Amino acid sequence: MEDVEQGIRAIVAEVSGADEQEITIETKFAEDLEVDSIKAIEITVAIEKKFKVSVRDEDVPNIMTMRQAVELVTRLLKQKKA
Amino acid sequence: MGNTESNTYDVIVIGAGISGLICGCYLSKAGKKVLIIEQHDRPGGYFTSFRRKGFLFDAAAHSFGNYREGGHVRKILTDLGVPELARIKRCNPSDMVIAPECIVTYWNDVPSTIAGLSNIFPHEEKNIVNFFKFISSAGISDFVKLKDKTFDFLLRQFFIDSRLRSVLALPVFGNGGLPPSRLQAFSGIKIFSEFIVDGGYYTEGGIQALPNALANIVKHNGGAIVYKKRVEKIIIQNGAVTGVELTNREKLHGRIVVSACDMRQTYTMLFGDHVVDDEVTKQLNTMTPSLSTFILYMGLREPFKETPKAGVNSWYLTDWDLDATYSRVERCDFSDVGAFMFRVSPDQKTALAFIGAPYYSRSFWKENKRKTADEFFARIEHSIPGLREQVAYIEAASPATLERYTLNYQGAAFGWAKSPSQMSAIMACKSSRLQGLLFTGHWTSIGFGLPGTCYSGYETARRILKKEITR
Repeated sequence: MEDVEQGIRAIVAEVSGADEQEITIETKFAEDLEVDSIKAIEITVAIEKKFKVSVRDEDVPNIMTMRQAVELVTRLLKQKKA
Repeated sequence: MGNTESNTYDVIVIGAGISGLICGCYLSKAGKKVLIIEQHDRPGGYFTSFRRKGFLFDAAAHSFGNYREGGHVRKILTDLGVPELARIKRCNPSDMVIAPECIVTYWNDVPSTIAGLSNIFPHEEKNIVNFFKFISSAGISDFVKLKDKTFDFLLRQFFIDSRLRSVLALPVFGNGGLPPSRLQAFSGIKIFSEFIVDGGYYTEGGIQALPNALANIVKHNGGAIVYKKRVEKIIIQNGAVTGVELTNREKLHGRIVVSACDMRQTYTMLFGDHVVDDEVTKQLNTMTPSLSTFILYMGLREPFKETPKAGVNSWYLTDWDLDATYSRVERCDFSDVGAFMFRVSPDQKTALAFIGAPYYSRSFWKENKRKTADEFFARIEHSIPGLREQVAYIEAASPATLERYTLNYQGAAFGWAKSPSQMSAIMACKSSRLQGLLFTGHWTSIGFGLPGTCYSGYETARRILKKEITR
């Protein structure tokens, strides 16, 4: 879980230009980091590539905050293992 | 020569295209000592104008979009004070698609455009309304869902009639270099909503007025721009950028270097033997640049008062099948080209026409430029009878010409080809692993044209200033 969180934090920092220290589990991408549609696509595509998972359409609304992204990737990784 | 105050800067920007200029404007406005280095003799990149035989031609870009109230481009240009230095006007209509059985007109007033389309395609009226509603209100989730989809996929969600899909997609193809079946959906929507629905803006007196205004703002803020100087390499010491060396061996120092030029060139040439990131270099070698263009510049004997109306981007569609058109372009078969754009300048003194064209090689274009120009002109004349009698002077630019003047790899008109399969690679290689080196411009983004490069230049400056504050 921590690895997932750290991995996502690094991606979000890279795409948004924010410092990693600024990004907590409570961070909302659009509201707190000015993530717009182009950056949201970049974050999602980078997450898919890094964790080798596929974010489906129905999961998209649940990848707009750090907590949601971490929970989603953790779940997708578990499903992949099972 | 060592570091002196005169050759040391806070930020050195390579390339005075729109993104480099916008970035330089914001940084100099924030008090940074900025130097922009440009190899051409004027600013603008693809937004330049040139004079021949008394005619003033826009070299490539001739109008732009996204200048509506609330648009990013308006926000950025207004923020920087451009409207005080350059007069920005808008053509109405901005675009027309001239197809075999119909003419679609893009009016500044969107409901009129929707009404016109619904009149031609009454069986799709509801879908047309829904499509325009979607592109104007799509939110972050909608765009993310389309991350791996094509623009054709999106159009098929709304429309049954393939002819309607083609007339909607043609200007997007022309402004993005890929047919809808190969273009990433996000890029397609952005071109449609920002270039076509909110398009047709131009600077009075030629497009050069726009980069000239930006260059003046950089200088007004205490920044410097040098022309006809080319960066030979980016100097790297202990994993950090320390400046650049010019082809005349002159060294300029700066903690931050922004490469606003061709990304492939940055990696393969500007780093010299210094292997910065082997993985990225390998990746770049496998990536496909966007299509280039073949352009005809025509000086007119008399003010052009016929159809198409001056200032309107007129897109001629002769084959409904845009994939077939793209295949012909890839094969460099211009004898019966399926689509092209023709625009008479707002002052009615010149005309510009372009078609997509592959690069092949410099020698190919040296041999085939004249022949292609003749074939292309004959093709245009077929659609606009009597044009030949009105043309006093004609000049052409091939992909090799565009490469020579702008140094964009293979004369690519839009950075990397924005296909879904290249999305992740475009994003992965846009950040440098080197301290102090940033990339900006159309090679770094899935955005396009002026809206894309304005956004990119602004974002790069914002990043630099944010890091500087938190240093």
